[in-house]
Amino acid sequence: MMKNRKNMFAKITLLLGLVFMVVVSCDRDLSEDAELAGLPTNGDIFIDGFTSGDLNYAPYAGSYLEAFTVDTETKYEGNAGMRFDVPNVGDPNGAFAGAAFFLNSGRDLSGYDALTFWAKGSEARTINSIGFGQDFGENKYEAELSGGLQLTTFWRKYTIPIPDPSKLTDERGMFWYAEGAENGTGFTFWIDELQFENLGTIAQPRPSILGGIDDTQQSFIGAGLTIIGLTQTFNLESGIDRTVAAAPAYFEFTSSNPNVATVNEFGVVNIIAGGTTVITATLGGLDAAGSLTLESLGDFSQAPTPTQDQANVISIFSDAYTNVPVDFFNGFWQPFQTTLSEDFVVNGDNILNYTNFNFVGNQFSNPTVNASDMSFAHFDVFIPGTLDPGAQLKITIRDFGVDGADGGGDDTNMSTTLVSSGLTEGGWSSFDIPLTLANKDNLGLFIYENNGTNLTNFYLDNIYFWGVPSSPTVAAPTPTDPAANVISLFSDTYTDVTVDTWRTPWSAAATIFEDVTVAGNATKKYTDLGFVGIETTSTTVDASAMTHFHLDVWSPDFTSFNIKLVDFGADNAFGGGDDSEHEVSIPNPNQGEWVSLDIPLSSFTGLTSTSNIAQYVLVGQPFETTDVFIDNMYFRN
Amino acid sequence: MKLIYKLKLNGLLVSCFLIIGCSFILLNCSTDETQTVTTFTQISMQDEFSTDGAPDARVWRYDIGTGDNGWGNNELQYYTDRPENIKVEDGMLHMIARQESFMGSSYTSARILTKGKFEQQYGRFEARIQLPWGQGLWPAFWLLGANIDEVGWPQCGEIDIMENRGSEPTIASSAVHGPGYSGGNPIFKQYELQNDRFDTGFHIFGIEWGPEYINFYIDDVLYNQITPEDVTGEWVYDHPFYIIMNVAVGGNFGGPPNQDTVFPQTMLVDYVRVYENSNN
Repeated sequence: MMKNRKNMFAKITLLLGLVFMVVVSCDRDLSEDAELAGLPTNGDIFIDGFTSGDLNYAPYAGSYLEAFTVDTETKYEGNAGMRFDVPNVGDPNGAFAGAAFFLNSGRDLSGYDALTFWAKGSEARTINSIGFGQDFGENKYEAELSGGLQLTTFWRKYTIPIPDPSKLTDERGMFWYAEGAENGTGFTFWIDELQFENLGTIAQPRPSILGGIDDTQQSFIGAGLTIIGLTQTFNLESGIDRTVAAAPAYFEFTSSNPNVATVNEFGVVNIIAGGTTVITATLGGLDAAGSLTLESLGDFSQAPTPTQDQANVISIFSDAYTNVPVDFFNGFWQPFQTTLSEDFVVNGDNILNYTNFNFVGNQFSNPTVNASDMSFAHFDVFIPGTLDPGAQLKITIRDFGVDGADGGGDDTNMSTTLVSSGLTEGGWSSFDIPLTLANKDNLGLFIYENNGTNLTNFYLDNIYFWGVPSSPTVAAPTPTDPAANVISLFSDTYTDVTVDTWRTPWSAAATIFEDVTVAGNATKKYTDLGFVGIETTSTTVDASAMTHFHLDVWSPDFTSFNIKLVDFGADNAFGGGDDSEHEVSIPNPNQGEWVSLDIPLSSFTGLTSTSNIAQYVLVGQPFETTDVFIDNMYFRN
Repeated sequence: MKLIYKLKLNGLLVSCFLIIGCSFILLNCSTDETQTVTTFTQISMQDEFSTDGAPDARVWRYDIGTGDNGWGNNELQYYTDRPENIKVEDGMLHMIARQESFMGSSYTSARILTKGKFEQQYGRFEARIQLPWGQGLWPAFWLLGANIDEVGWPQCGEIDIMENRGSEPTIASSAVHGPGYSGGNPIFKQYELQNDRFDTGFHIFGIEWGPEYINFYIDDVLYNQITPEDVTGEWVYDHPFYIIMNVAVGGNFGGPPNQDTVFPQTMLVDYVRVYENSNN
């Protein structure tokens, strides 16, 4: 307290001595004597060894497990210090050094204001991440020094302030760090006299959220949103500001209008109605800089659910499909890009949101996308706010060429511009852009450009390539109906009855029939199907004990498919006045995938008898231009 | 003009102060009244800043503007008498440095002085102050020789009771400037708080000044004595001086603010008290 006592005068020494005693007696420093019957208040972690027997050393997964050792040679003071060996790049023992030191039972650290230690490095490097509050539990009061810790090659004392000491009444996370090699090489650093201290010089707290920015965002009911950028800044004894990233539990969050949105102790915002609310926070009773003005637009209209089969899709961004690896959805290209990302999630649906838009890119080059079998690029675009008549959204699709990299002289591009008449104000528009690139086996980049006026904000969803192959690549599903219950005309699974012809002469002239194999499985193919007749006239089929007609059918492009059954009646011959027939239509069958039709015979309402079925007519649309594959044609019960 | 506020103290109480005062302290744990007094026991001026508004015009006057060359120190602020920069409120004098464009300067602040209103030779001068903080702040509580207009500076003498660099929140310093030891070469000494800072609470800064000595103290610690043997020139501290308090921004002492400096910054003064020898 009285550093300069040596300057006191003899004539006042006695008096000042008295005063000194007075001041000491008034101190409220932490002392063992004053300890209440609560948790231990010991702040020491490693002085000349660990001060607590229940301190755990827990190296992170993938780190060099032996990175930490106790060093009796190099230490700041006393007998021993902590030594940390950061491995070189490629070290088989671990990719980095990192660990948490935590206790099994908590300590009351509320009487301290900082974690302090002496440290030096074999080189003057920066430890990437260092702090306290990791307890291998919920890490509720984790804190990390912002900007890392800059080491020197001589011993220096370092201070990591506690964002709000009053919170640390039962803390187990004493210390943690993570550091990797720089320029390929590791190094060694030492830490000693590691302890929580009450310095009394940690002052001028300035908490902030959202990096101290007063932000405004539009959102929707059900959108997920978390307040980030949580920090606490102090001015230290040195006069230098020190900032720590602080866990949400240090803060008290408030929503000015809880009818619009609530915010929980983790800073997670739950939007429950349309309207405006302002999210703010305090730390230790101090208002945090920064706020989020949230304009909830109410219910979110989701983009149309994609209908393409996953097998025919290479997806970049969609919750309906498995997506390929994407390098980035916003490259933040300097120096001219202004576009920011305010992506959000509504009821589990991820949406890309570009604001302050001039141009932006999505890159997917690790690996590039081979879209040789794909015909279209699909985009769903939503225009929030007002749609300007002059709005134009130019989309460029870039193939990176054989080098698989942007540039290199072998890139090729195609572009399409979406204009306002095709976009929807306050709603989604879907675009399937034909892939006209000659080379589309190394696609790597979409570029979106604001080519018109006042298109500053839009959402994207369901970005994928799709195309339907001209023939199936997988066999039709293997039937599971028991053979005893089946009368089969064509199936590898069953014994087939005699079929006189798979293409009668009276079939549509353009329609070509051939036997093909699909993945080793015998399949019938009708090229340019208009209509085709199939006959079992020599031995008609008695399906009177059957209940269903089954057929697996595949087409890249049919828009409807009809099946007609003809029964020859009791005379078991064409004509004679006792024939009956009925045609069932299947509109909009799924394209590019096997469609298993299993139609109740009762649906063939005009078919008055099923004892002498002799003809089967298949009809495809578009007429005489669609190719149709069939398999597993049988009756069952 | 002297002795504007003269407190009549009970003689017995004064004579017993050394003993009774300390007993009082022991009971109350207060550091406010812990000053060691030698012979300067008679209040000759005090301002407790108990009336809201502008500082008491019977005691204080303002320096306005930028002086010559930033008051001789390349200071960056423009001093004003506006309530934005100086006011008495809640029992405190607030001297507020702001970052704003004003009359060609980028900062404003305040400087008040007792020149021509209260001037005294010898005595105990003290103030209880909470300092501003941050790189580029330069608060000061100091005295200038009242004969400055006749003999000039530094012949008039200057006693800096407290100066602080905002970038050094635990350090305050004192100095005397006279002929042959002025400007960048004064008789100077620092005092560093342990486990405490000057910007988070109030501290008492004072001198006891008599013939051939000036004793400097902070709170209960007398940390510096300057006598004619210590100065490297003429001893010019045997005539009346007046008081100055100011918050400078930038200047030669601590350099300019940086991007981390938080504005506005306020120096809070709880009181200014001056004692003289009761035998005078």
